This record gives sequence, C-alpha cells and structure tokens, in this order.
Amino acid sequence: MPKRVMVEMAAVALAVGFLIAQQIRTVNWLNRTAQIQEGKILSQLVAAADRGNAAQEAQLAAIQSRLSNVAGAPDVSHIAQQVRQVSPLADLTPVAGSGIVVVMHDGQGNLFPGEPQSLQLVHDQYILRVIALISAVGARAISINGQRYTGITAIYCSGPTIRINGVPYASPFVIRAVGPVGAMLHSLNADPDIQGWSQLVFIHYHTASRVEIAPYQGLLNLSLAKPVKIRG
Amino acid sequence: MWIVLVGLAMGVLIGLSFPNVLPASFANYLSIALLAALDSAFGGIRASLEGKFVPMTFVSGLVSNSVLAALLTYVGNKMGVPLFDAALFAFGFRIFQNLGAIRHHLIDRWHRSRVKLNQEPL
Repeated sequence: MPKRVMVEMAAVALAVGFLIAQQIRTVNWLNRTAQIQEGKILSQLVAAADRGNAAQEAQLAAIQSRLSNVAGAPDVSHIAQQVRQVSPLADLTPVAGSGIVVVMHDGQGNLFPGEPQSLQLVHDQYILRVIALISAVGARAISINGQRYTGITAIYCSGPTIRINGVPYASPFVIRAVGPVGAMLHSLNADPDIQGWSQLVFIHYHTASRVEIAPYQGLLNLSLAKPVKIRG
Repeated sequence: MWIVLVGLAMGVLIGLSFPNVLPASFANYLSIALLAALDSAFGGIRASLEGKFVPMTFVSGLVSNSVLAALLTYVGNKMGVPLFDAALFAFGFRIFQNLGAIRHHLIDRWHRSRVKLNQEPL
C-alpha cells in the first residue's frame, strides 16, 4: 500500500479516535449532569416539605396559645393530668435506655444466574419478624428509621420502599429498641429466619448503652378503627 | 497497519486531553456517525482479509457514511421520524455481519496454516 494512503488512513483513524473520546466524555458529562439534577430536585422537595412543616408547627403553637388565653375556658387540668399518665402507654413520650440497634439493608453480592433480584431486597416481613422477636422478650420501646412502633403502626412493602406509619422508607432500615439487652440479642441469634435472611441481605445487630427513641408523632384520629373491649 | 493504530491511539489521547467536550446536543448525531465509522472500519478489515481492500473506497465510505448518518438523523429529528433507530439497526446489523465474516476468515486461515504445517516433511 502506498505511503500516502497509509498516512491518509492514519489521519482518518486519528479523527475517529478523537471523536470516540469526545463522545465518551460527552456521555459521561450528560450522565453526571442528570444525576446532579435529580439530587437537586430531591433536595428541593425535602427543603419545601421542611418549610411547610415549620409553618404548620408555628400555626399550631399560635392556636394553642390563643386557646390557653381564652377567658372563661373550661378547666381541663384533670384531663391534661390523665393524658400525661397514659401518654407513655400510647408511645407518646420519648424513651431512653440501654438496648440494641439492628441495621438491615439490601444485599450487594452478585446474583447467581436465574436468582431473582427480589431475594436481595429487605422485605417488610424481615422488619416485622425482628419487631415480633424483640417485642416478645420485653422491648419497652421500638423505632424503625426514627418512626416509633406503636399499637397502630402498619409496616408493609410499597413498591421499592417500605411504609412505616404511612411514611415510605428505602433501605437501609435501622431498628432501635430499648429493653432487656441480653434477651433481645438471644432472640435474634436463636431465630432461624433471621439467620437465614442474613445470608441474603445485610442484617447486623449490636448492643448500645444508650438508645434514644422519639415519641410517636403521627395521626391519632382513626377514621375506621374502633376501640374494642377485651373480655377477660 | 501500525500507523493506523498509532493514529487511533493519538486521536483518543487528544480527545481525552482536549479541554472542552462537544456540545451535548451533538451527542446523538456523533454517536450514530461513530457507529457508521465503526461499520466502515469492520467492513475495511473484512475487505482486506478477502483481498478486496481499496483504500479510496474505504475512506470515502467511512466519511460519507458517518456524515450521512448524522445528517439523516438530524433531518429525521426535524421531521419527527426516528431515523436514529433505523440507522442504529442497520449499522448494528452490518457490524455483526462483518464481525462474523472476519471470524470465519481468521479461522479459515488458521486451519490452512495447520494443514500446511502438517503436510511439511520433517
């Protein structure tokens, strides 16, 4: 092949190489920009929700102060006293003490051929199982990702998230519990389900000398549920 | 052959170290142009293995295919016809056809060399 032709072909190859490198860089840049934009949109939504919450709290405080200043208002001190007494039972007061922390997140290992990806996800039943085990051995207070577990708490899968007290959460899930540390640890260690699931997803638990659990802050007015009388 | 590879490597290095990237709006057109260029490159390799390689045909095919592919994609976008997909399918199909042919030629060559080696007297 003549030398001139070779040089021409090298020039074409150089141009193609340049364009390939530019294309790769452009696509990388586009992907990075999309990720940044997504992150910005999410953080804007969170900031807007925070602003809305702050405004609602300010409005609530203003109404409460107006109520307390109303002349001739009925005396509700005995009702307030009753509320103070039953609040701990209704999980409306913070609890602190020694306890355990359970961390669960989706598995990150490589899937075997044909293995369904759902096996690597933390499911609602995993969280429910942990809560059932530690409740059975006497946990005094439990929270999942900061949401207090109460008698009316619902935990269920909702697409890729798990709803706890109506709020959707994605992996990781952190369960904190105050109660008898040894018994709670033993119940998790001895449970075959927990030990089996820990082969699929990440489940780690450890003791903590001080665990703080916030009060329940969700809605208290139930639209459909009615209190039942337990016959003893 | 090595001078072409050196050219390609230098092009990639220059592209990576270039201070700017091409405008994002060009990305679609450039990607289809590069696919056309890859199709021509594999076609060229196949032609050279078959002993039919003509440098002028190769270079003109590479340039014209790339430019026309990008141009047709642009026109298709303006008309609301997704010609990008059509070009993607056409060039992708041809690339894999060429790759298959190249593989066959290389295997044939290897077979022939083995047969020749076995026939040579010790």
